[in-house]
Amino acid sequence: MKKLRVLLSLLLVGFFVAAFQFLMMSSSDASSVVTRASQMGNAQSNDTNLATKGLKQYMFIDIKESNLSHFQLNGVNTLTGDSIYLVPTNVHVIAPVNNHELSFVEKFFDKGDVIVNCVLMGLYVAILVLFILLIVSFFRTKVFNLNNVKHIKTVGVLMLVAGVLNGLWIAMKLYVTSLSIQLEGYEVSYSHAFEWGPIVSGLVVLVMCEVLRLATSMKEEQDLTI
Amino acid sequence: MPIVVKLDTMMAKRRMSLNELSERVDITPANLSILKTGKARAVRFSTLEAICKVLRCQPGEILEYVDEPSESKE
Repeated sequence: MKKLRVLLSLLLVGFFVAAFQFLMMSSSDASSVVTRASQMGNAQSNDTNLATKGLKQYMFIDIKESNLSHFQLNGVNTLTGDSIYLVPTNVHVIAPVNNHELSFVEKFFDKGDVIVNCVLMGLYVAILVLFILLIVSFFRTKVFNLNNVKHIKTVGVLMLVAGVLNGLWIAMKLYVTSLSIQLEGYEVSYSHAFEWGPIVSGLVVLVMCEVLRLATSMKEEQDLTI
Repeated sequence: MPIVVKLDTMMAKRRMSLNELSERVDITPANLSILKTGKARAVRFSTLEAICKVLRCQPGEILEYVDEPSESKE
């Protein structure tokens, strides 16, 4: 029981650290993108208002090179002094906003991004709340309890839903982005659209939940054996 | 459950209270109550042996199989 409590505490700390890191990274990314965008806007043309005029910021896009002949040796291996290719694979695309009216799809994805992020945030908050309830229950030495089984099952399902929703949304956004952006020498890669981590974790949690359900019913039977 | 526990009948025949039986069989009154009310899922042979010994009866006098009507008949 002591081991279980220690593991759960470590898991909770890990959860908070991951959430904190996620928030810090996303905010620093956003600020650096804005800074870089404004620098780019100032440097690129005499029109210094480019940054303030409006920049269309696309998501991080996984790309893969379609033709290596397009590249030049653009890096140096300082250990050997050899020239090497540096090929970006994950880029953040920032483009000036055109004057044309945003299409329905672009509007949908602009608004949908906020909604999906809110839904995902809600799911993660719900997972955190359920997790805290579980830890409280475990600390009260009520491990084999049907309520715990329900909570763990909900956590697993929510993790699965969050993973699938996030993956589908990223894949859709990649597809729509690939319709409006064509990079020379690159093509959009879908290989990292799906993050399997949350999906696999959700499945593992569901398996563990089933094990706990069996253990709970065995404990109940044991308790009712006179 | 189709197994009916007739412990109360046998206790009444022997004029023995629940507390007295629990003391003599050496199980808690709560557990004996679970057994008496038919909530128990299983009975250990050692418990059954002790109860039969104290109540001077056979296991068949405490436990009875009653065929439950199937759902289709209802």
